[in-house]
Amino acid sequence: MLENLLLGLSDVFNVLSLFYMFLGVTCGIVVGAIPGLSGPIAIALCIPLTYYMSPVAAIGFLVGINKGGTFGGSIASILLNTPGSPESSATCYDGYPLALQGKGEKALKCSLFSSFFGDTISALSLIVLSIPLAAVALKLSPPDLCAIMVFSQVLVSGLDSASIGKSLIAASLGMLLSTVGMDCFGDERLTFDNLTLSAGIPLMSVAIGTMALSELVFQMQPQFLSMKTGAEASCGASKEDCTLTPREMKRVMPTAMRSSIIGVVVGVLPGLGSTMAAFMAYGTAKKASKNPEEFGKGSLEGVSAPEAANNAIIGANLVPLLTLGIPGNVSAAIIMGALILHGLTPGPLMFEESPRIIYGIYCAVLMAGFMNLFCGWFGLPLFIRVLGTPRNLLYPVVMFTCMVGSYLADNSIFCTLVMLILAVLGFFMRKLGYSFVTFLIGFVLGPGFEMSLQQSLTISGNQLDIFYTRPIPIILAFGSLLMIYRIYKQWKKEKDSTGGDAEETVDLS
Amino acid sequence: MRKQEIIINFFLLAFALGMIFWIIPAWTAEPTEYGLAGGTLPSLCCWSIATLATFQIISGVLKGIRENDGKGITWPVMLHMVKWFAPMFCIVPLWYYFGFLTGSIPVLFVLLLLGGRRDWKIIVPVAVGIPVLIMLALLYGLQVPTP
Repeated sequence: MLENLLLGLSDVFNVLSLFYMFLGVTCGIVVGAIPGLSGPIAIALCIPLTYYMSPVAAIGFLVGINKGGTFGGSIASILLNTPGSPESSATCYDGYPLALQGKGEKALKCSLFSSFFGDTISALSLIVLSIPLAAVALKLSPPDLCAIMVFSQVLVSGLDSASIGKSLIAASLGMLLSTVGMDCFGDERLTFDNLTLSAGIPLMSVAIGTMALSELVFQMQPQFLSMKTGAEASCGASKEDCTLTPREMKRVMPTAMRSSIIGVVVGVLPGLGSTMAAFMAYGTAKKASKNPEEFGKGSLEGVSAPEAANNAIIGANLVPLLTLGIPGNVSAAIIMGALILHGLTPGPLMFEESPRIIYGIYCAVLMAGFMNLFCGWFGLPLFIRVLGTPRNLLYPVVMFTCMVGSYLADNSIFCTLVMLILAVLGFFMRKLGYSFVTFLIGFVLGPGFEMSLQQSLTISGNQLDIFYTRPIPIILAFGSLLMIYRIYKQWKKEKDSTGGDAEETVDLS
Repeated sequence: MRKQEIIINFFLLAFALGMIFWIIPAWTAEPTEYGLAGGTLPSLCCWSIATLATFQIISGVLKGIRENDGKGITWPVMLHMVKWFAPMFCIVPLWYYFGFLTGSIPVLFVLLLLGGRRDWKIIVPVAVGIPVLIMLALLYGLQVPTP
């Protein structure tokens, strides 16, 4: 263990890996600070660059983007009241009032401090939880894994969209798309005699198309374009209003600690997501506060709670990814794709086959938090300036980089074409309220699910009783049905409260 | 449920059934005696889409069909989509026939114009500079051949 730890440390603490991590955090903060763009979009855009990195440097780079993107989201929330990412929405409640009081920089520093706190707690939880969980995961048989994947997909589908039907359709479409290429026996499947398709549809084309490019075209609609993007940071504010004092740090510490724990618990469970964690942490902080009346008017605890929680998700989300090979959210799904690109299969066997990489990932996740603190603290004035770049200049350039990025997937123009087609699909999905998150997770889980199904049927001699004679599949099947029933009940309740029009709650703008 | 959503669900149902009965049997290998046939997972996914779309149609019809109240896919939205995606799709033949630089500059130029920028002093350097920079980064940084 010590040997692997030292090797992992040497993989992270070299100039190149640290530089990539620094680059990742910086890119993440810049992209996250632009309203409408978020960490996962930046990750999707930057996957092509990881081809040229070692696996540990690539994961450090991508985790750095994710962490930077989450903090970047809070910059737009606090200064513009327009969250850069959904998980930063809760930060607007108290961050923006603080900015209006000329304490924007103080709020940002508080957000950064809390993000660092959440990052560190979640990295430690990853280190502590993943090895014992991987030991348990190794005892799981293929039918158990099948059931876990179905349950995770239902869980993600149920929580990501207002309509579970639409979400499950999106997941099925994603899984269907993943079957293009070769089947388990190496025969061509749904390739339409196209040689390029026989290698399957590259994850990068799917991620860039459905997540990044479709979002950019969506954001270029006139109603979004007219929104203000430039920020005037709290100019002329006194030094006192810009500084986060040790006393204030001490005051927000219990909130940051509590919110980080909430973030870790939510992050370990696939599908619950950082937005939910941020709002749960905000609500809990308000309940626990001695001055709940200050919340919503510019409370530092109100900034600290959602930021610590949504950053604590990042490391915790890697627990199900590394131990079971199940991505908990869209960022984890893309990181899983990046691991696969580097010839690694996330799952319990990775702990036995590539322990050096596992320890390298631990160190990278821990180090990325420090890098985020460093870049955020010293680069704050620069990142604030990025918010002033006109959207109609920035977005066309990012659209162009999307096209170049998808080309890099296989050095093939065909990948760009596939990406563009998927971007059109992603745009329709956004407009019609179908979840592209479940679509992407379905796409990523597809091959693993088929493999487990194949193994299960081979073990049982093509008998389906293997799925209903084992405890884990039975329990998870009941869990899935219960989940669907609960979502249906919630939908029914919303329908009653909105006067029979629950679907209006889905954002179709 | 809106009329448009019913139409979308009918489209999904038709797509899934088309896949199950025509595309999947034609483009997957014959099942073997053991293990999972190549067409099983795609068929499972399509059956799931067909079932869910049918449920959505039935529940929509039972609840009552409403007119599209300016939400979802409207003509202005379609126009917006075509306006933005058309030049992007053009990049594929442009890269293929004219190369990276010659193909990229006009597309980026059009995208900037579509975004509403009319200041030539910015549009021209950006439309030329960004593809040149990316090309240099690809050729000399990542050592990847450009399209």
